Amino acid sequence: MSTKLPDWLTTSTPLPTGHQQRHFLAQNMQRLERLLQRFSQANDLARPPLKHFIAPQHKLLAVLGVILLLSLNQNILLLWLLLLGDLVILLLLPPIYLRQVLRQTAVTGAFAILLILPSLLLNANVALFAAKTLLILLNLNYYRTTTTFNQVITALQQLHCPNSVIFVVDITLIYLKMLGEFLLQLLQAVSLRTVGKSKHPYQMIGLLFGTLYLKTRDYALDLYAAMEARGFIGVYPAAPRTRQRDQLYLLLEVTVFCFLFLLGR
Amino acid sequence: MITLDQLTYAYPSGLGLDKINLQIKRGEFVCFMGPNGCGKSTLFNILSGLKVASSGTYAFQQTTIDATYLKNAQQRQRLHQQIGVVFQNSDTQLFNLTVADEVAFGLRQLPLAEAEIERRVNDCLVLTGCRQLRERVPYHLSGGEKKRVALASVLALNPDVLILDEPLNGLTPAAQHEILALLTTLQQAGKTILIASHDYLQIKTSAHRFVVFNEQHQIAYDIDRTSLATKPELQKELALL
Repeated sequence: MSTKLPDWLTTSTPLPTGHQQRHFLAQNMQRLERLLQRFSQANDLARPPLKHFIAPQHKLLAVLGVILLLSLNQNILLLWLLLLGDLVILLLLPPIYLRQVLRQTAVTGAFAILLILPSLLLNANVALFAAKTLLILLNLNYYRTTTTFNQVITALQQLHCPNSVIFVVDITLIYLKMLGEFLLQLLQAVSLRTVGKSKHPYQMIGLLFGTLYLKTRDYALDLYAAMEARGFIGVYPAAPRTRQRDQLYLLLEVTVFCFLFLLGR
Repeated sequence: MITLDQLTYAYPSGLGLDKINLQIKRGEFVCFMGPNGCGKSTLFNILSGLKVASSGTYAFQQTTIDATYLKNAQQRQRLHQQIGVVFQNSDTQLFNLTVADEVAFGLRQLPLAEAEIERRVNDCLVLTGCRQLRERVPYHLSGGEKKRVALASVLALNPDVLILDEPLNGLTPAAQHEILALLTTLQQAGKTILIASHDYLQIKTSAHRFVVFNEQHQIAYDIDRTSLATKPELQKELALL
């Protein structure tokens, strides 16, 4: 190792002129940052933590039940009742969560309507279908906004999902954020050393994804080895016992589901 | 050269930097210290143009660096050429198939002849002690080797300011000494060196100025080496950071 500096390092370096770099790097970095913020939904001071009165598995069952009811029934009254129930639940949400649920429903709803637009043009009666789709999206967005990833895993455990399924979901949720962060830093590194026009811009994409693939593989092997070293044999610990309140809620849930199902027949 | 005026950065999870006022002159060797999560890396991201301050101003060579400035691709590229950054995690900084390609990545975008690029790549590899790694795959290098290759690839662009986030982590004491000697030589040649480190004892003879952050993301001390020598209590505090 030498500490005698070459002459070029003590004079200024010429820069390319007249070249406008495409913004795709900067845009992708911004999008990825926003996505990562969503994944780290905890620790967001702007969003006060929700009080979870309902066990995660019952919340999941409720959402699945509503989707089932909406899919199987054609009764308008049922739609109104479910909408009324949804609106009551939404009103209990803090404003920041409420805004997020409504915004997401508006965006996903608009996209869904766009997909059924050809049917509308053909004069088919799709109003009921559109209303049902919007209600399903509203319920899904409510669940997505008010449920953390840990709660999803707990819900799957409580519902006695196979360990292999929970393992895959768990690892995916952990790694999506981790690999997203890794990719973001790679993009930042490329951006910091992009001082002109790249001769092979598409080769860069291959290099980035190659590095990401190698990292994914290494992370997965390291994580499994670390879990094995700590006694993991592919079985998740038993889920905590349900409370009396949860059992009462489940009873109420089943009763309402049966009532609405019979009403909609 | 660098002026920060009431610079604040807020993450969704809380403050990253709180009303930072700082002036750095050309050719200074400044060490940034402080507990984990105090804002050193956030400050480096703002200085390099990766993040934009939530409020306050950041000026580099009398030019305000803000969102409007960074939107212009040419201006952004100029800033990136003038300010080189070595990340805390060098793993994420290396993405080419060989060490030589890694160092040549930025140079190949400049109006330089292939022979000149080759000369600069060789010089950088020699300066950072990576000559023998030339044809190796960066991904498979050790942590210390990756750090040195990352430094070589940044040095190749001949930046005026070198930002190094914990560059001594993962290096042997001998390699740490060599890197600090190189940074001192670069500083003597007129480069501005900004370094984040937890190792006060290792860095105390190289850095001229110490900027210490507290847990409230503010500057607790901004003190030069001579003044620090007269404050043994503060030295003890820094050694424990």
